[in-house]
Amino acid sequence: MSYREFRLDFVLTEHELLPGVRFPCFAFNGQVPGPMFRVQENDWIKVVARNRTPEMHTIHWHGVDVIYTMDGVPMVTQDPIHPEETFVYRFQARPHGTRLYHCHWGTPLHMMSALHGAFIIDTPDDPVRAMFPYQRDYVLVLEAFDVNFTRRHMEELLGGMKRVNKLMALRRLSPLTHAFFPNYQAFLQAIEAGWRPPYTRGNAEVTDIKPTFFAINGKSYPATVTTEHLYIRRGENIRVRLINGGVFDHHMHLHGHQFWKVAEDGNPLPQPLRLNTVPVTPGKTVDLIVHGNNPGFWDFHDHKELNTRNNGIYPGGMITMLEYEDLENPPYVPSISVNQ
Amino acid sequence: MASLRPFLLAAALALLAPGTRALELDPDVPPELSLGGRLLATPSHQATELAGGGSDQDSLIDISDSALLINAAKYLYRDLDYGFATFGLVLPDDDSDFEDGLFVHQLFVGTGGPAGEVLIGRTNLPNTLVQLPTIRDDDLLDYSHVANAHLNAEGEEFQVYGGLLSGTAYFGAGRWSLGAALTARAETDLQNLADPERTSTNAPNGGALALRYELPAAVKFDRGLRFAGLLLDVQRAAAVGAPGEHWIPAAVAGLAYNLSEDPEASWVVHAQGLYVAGEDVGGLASAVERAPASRYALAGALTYAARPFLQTRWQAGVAFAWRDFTDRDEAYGVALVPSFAYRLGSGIDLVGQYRFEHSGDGLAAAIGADTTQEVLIGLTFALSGTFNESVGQRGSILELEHDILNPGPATRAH
Repeated sequence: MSYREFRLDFVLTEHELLPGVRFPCFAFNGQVPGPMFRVQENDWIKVVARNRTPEMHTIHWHGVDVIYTMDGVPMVTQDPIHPEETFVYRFQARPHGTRLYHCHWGTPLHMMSALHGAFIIDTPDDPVRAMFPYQRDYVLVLEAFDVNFTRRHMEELLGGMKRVNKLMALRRLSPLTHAFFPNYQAFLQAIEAGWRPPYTRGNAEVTDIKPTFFAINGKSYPATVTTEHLYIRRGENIRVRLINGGVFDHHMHLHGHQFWKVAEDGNPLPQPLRLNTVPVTPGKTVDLIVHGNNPGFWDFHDHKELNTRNNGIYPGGMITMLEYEDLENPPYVPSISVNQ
Repeated sequence: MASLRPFLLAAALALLAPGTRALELDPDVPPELSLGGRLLATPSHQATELAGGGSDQDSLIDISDSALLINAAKYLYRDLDYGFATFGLVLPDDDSDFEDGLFVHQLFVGTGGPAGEVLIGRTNLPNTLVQLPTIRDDDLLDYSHVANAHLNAEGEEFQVYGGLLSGTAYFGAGRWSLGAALTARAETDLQNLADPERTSTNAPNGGALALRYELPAAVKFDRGLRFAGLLLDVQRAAAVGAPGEHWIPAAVAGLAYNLSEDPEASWVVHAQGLYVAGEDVGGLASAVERAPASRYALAGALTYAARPFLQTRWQAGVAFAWRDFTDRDEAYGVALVPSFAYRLGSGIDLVGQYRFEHSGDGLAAAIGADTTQEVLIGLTFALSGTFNESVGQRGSILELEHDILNPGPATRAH
């Protein structure tokens, strides 16, 4: 059996969302979002995942039908990958469609970090391509970040994990230290013995996540101008794959066009839907076909307008553009505004 | 005209709100605010064997050293530079000359960036290096701090706090700092010791230079050096009961060393040596006579913290101290202070302490006390909350270990 082999490193990096805004986060290979996988259906995949951070992680192949020990759910299908450890995921890429991968160690810090990416499984028998012939497709990963929360909690985590990792190195990590229990009965016994869970009154931290920056493929408007524009020509179909990599709802609206929603969760719809606004909720993927029939520059943005701001300032965040390449002498060309 | 509109608007707002006294203040861009403090309530009993024979007993419900602090911080135009300000109140001791009053012990404003920080106002004087594990601020003050040579009044506040114009440079990835300060210690009329009046609170009368190596406890929790520092302090003080002024230099060296590799059981040693290159004064009876006198002082402590499951449960410490006024015979003092704190909950501790202090005959005769013993037991409630948390912190792990700059004020309410 031959594998297509990939390497993914969990890295602590500092990512720039747009000029003047950088924040620390966990990211695959230091990229936000992580590198995009482009494989063929039924390919055998080998991913060597190495943890180069002080925190624990896993990788969940969201929407991919793997065997359960490759599903990446900590304490359910595998032990988390500890700092400086390597875990090898092996699975067959199926079914075809727009999928994603993300760390399944679902702490609030992870939610506000960037451990997610696109996993695109192609097939020569793609029914979407058969119905809507296209050459170009675009993958847009939608993200929301509370950068202050991430900075603060990254610092706290780094401090706490130093001690946890030290105890681990000394082989003295106990179930109570890290709240890992072999089963529910052991959890109950710990409480009866006087251990107080961290969610109880007097122990629980107030976790208040308020995302202040919204991004497409790791960039907030106007930085989306450089890499995240969708290009089209008159008469052309393009496929747009939307992936919600965060934990907030987004409602993507395309101006001047009625697009076809052709797939949801990576699976082709039996009947495409004619829409101009489409919700993409957490963990969802939505595939669109846009037909080039209205030349111009067209806003494509989250219609939950609070998400089209940078730290409260409009315009910003989740805004990009559908741009016709074959415009001749357009009467108006877009400029940049960052404070209205 | 249109381009002038923002400036005219700002000028109009400034005129309408003269109390703000800022060039332009946008209320919709709030600072980060931190609220911190500690309420410390300890019934205590003190027994003193007097130098001339006999004894004295004293009991009280002591709520002194309770304090409240408010910090504000905000980034400047470049978000690696910041401004900050702090306001704090502390309750003085029962026997202080500020009895029944609240003392403004922190009131400063500053600005800083990755390379350094400037601070102007009132805060802790740079006259000590290590913090000993005692329950109250003044339990070993006579051994751990360079005393105020300008003050003939009871009141630890004017020993610990003072005016400061200081600058600190950080280097070596933030692990090292070099600070220089112009200091203003409170002064009383030293020509009239019987009935002194405060003559100045904020007039500059000294300076300090400090070199520090420091790793936060979050970074350095296993065996090794966590802190080392060298401090030079100088005061220009009036001579007691005589005209003229003189320089009083002092040097302090201190360190903190972790003894344990175990994150669940921390052993830390603090040690400090202090030397005042003073002069032979007329006597040692009053604080202002002892302050400029030549003396050596050593202070040290061993602290153990039990942290099962990585949460501090209790801490025990023993601090010991010694001082000797070199120009006088038998003018030495020793102190031993074991203390204990048990964590009842987050920020809420049950505390207890025993203090033993003995003076040699030369010093005992001057201060009137041969041996003092004190027992206290009580509760503390410490609070710390931050609102609109948007400003970083100096010495962060992100900076120290990951080269991600996240600077913020070195001094905050806790």
